[in-house]
Amino acid sequence: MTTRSHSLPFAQPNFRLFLQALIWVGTAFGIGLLATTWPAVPRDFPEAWNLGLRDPLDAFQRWVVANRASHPVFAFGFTPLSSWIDHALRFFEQALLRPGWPALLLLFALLGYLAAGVRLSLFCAGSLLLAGLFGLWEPTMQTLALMLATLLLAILIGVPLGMAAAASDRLDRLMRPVLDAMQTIPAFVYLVPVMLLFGIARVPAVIATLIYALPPMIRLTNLGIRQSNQAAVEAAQSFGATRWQILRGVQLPLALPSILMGVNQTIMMALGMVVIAAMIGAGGLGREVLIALQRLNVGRALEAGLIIVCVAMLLDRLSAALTRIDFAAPAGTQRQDLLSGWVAGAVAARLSTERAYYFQAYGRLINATLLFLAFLLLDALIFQFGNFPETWRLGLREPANAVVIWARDNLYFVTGPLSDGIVIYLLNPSRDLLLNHLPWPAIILAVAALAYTSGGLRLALGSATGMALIGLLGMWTPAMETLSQVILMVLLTVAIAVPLGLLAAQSPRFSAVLRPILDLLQTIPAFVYLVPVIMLFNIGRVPGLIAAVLYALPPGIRLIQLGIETVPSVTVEAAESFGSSRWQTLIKVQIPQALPSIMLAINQIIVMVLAMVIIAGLVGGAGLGIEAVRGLARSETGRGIEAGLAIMILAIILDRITQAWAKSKP
Amino acid sequence: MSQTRRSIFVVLLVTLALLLAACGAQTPAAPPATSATTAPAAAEAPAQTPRITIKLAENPWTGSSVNVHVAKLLLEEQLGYTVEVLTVDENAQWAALASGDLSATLEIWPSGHAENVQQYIVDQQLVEDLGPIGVVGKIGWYLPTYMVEQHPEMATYEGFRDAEIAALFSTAETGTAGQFLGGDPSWVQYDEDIIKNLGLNLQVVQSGSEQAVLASLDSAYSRNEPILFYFWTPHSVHAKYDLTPVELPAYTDACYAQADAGGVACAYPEDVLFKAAWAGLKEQAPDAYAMLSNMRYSNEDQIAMIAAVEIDGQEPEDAARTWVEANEAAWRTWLPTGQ
Repeated sequence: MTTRSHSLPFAQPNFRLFLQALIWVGTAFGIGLLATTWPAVPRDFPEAWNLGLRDPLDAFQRWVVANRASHPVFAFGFTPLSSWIDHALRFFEQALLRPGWPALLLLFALLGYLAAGVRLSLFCAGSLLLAGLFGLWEPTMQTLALMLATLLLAILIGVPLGMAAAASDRLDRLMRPVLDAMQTIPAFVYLVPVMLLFGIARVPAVIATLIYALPPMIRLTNLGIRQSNQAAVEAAQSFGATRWQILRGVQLPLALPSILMGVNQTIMMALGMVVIAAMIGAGGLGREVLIALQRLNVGRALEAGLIIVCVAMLLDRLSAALTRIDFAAPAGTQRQDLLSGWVAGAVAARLSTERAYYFQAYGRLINATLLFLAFLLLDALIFQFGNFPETWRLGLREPANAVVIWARDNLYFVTGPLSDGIVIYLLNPSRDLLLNHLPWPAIILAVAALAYTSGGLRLALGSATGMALIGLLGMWTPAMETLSQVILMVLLTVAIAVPLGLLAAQSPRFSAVLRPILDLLQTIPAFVYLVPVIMLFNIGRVPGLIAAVLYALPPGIRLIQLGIETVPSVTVEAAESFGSSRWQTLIKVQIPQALPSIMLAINQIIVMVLAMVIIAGLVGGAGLGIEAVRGLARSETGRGIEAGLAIMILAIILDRITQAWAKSKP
Repeated sequence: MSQTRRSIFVVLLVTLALLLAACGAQTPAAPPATSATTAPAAAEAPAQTPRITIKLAENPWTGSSVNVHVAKLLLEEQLGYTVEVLTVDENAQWAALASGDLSATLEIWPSGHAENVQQYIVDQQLVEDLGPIGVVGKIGWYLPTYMVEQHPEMATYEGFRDAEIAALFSTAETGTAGQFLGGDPSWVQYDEDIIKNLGLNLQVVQSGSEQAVLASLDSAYSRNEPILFYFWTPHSVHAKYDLTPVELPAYTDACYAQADAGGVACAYPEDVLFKAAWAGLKEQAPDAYAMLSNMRYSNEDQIAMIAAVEIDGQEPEDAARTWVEANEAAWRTWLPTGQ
């Protein structure tokens, strides 16, 4: 065997690793099979070992409810804090709603133009115009205000915390599990606790969104500073710069791309919370989605969903472009466009060279501001545009609803049997294996073995402890139900993402077509497409499976494409010069070289799939998802938290195992 | 290097522009939000006492929307309050009602909130029961009527003892047993107990949400396929689809006395929908409290407004306005004496 594997094209240690994993998993399952013939070992985790976490948690919730009005922590702490934030948020919202709609359009068009030119300008104005045409002007402004505020807070909190974590390894180690928890515990679980502390509507919505969206901001700031060029830092030190000066003058600017990536990630994640935030009174576009779905009006939900996508892309592109641009570059290198010259140019021409500097350097910005202010003045005095005209309407809902009905009536003959096939041949066997065939110690052992092969003894012990903890939380059965689905979700996503990613890396045209679709899939609320999915695929575990695959595909495809594309062209050319065909180059050179990226993609896919466990629970997926939803639904906060912790543990175990696996490649 | 400082400058400028926008264009651009012309009583309302803003919970279904908008119209125009409507999940609303972040909610289904009622109203007394809204709901097992027409034995639960009849409802998820689609997880559901105790060949599949049930119903109905599910009336779904309830053994208190032991073997009780308010409302806004306590109308009143919204495509505000204009005699009796 060993001699043969030498001739294999794969990178050597990887293949051995794979063999090792196979042996270990085989051993563990062998033990499991042995145990099946040994009836004394129970399939379910012993109930008597339950930690009983939910009772103290519920008691604490009751205490908070009872003391919310009187206890000093609330009376002088949370209540004034949240009312202060609420005022700020209302003001923000009014700032966007008060000016007439053309003023807003102009503002965002100018921002886009200043930041990146005509295309972004048209996109920004077009998005807002579309919102108006869909009759969603006001909810869009509410969501935009909430998102801007959240983003501002995320930067204000996240960047300093990230800097602190970069400066202190101990803080970094301390913070990491907290960040993991923030990202993996489903928002459903902490909605009610956040409401208890911060009241209703905007403030708890911002807090809940922050909990979910802040971690990438901190992580990427930390990463950016840690990775900043050591030579630059040492050079600054040798010039006698203080630590603060180095941080501000050298490390932060160098970390800017990474921080920017954090902003981008935070925006995407925050927009993912819009619908959930609407459940606690945040209003905005999320409310439109909720109400539309209550009436099964997919078209109306789609309109609101598309605007959510537009807002996400607008904020993302704007934030990226705004930070990339150097407003104060020397006047000569400033871009010359429609905004240069004008008033600022005229003023600059009359001033002495020294004084003129600012008018030249910030000329475009000054002109844009003046133009906007002039328009505001005109609007207030003459036009008085006010609300978006009600007669201007563009309806997507009728055609969209017609498409849904057409699909329901004409596609079911394929999708119905397909769905049944997935249940009978994939989901049922995998559930039977975890819930009926394997006793719980065998499953823990198998996970530990998997962890050992990829990350060694510490990871194995940690994973085994985590699995046992799920049992101790009393969530073993739902967790195994969920795990049985998650395994399939991940396999399916990988099976689709790998070929699509490869194809996208080979063909720029395909990649260009794919990109907007991936953007859409990542930001449109799953609720929007779940109704037609249920109509076509029958209620149960399949709609959740589909939602998870759709949600996890974009990052998977992107990372695989990136991995293949970053294989040095020299390597590819070398292979080609030896006469290998395009296919051979791909299989023998590009894929092995891109393996770390592909492993990272699988890791991301797992994390994304686990984020959809709750959604799966909402459409018949049972498992941990429905346990967490019940926690919110029946005011059993304790039970919800138990289920949320179980999801978190599962996510962290799977994340660590795949991460270790990705890193173990030399 | 100083690029960061310059970006900060840019952000400041943009913020300034937004602030200016907020202050600059406020003058006559925004039309008056409340229709002052139709509010004869608003001007006479006692203005000397400091008024709290009444915050009403609108749950995301149409019945709740029209209730809230009827109350909003009357509170604003007859009692002169400022009313804010907040759309919020029906389960999430309790914590806010207990703390006064919400003033009142107008359509609670007792079956869905047994634990909440126990904790917030009975035990902690932070939320106050404001009495029935007048609409009476009923949970049950529903089938499309075409199923009962084809198989009359499905009209009662006894039909589902027959394995062949039950097997018509089987799906990939349930194998040989018939599929019973459960309700939203927040609702009280005894279906597993009922099925077991009555010896029916059915298996419960958790639907996870009301929307998921509606989507499955729509899909099955379009193909005249069998579907059996947990649902309730009044609901706009009955206007769109022809549904028949399955007859279960009649509800008795004795039957529900064994609920905790898993012994339920009869129909669900009637749901008398009720209103609830923050316990401090009575003191802070006695006239609003009195009006909301007295507010009450019939199933027919509500169904007419729901139909106007869901079938004629009106906004809930307009449907509520139509009802208020046509039923002055009814809502006059809700107002506290002296108004």
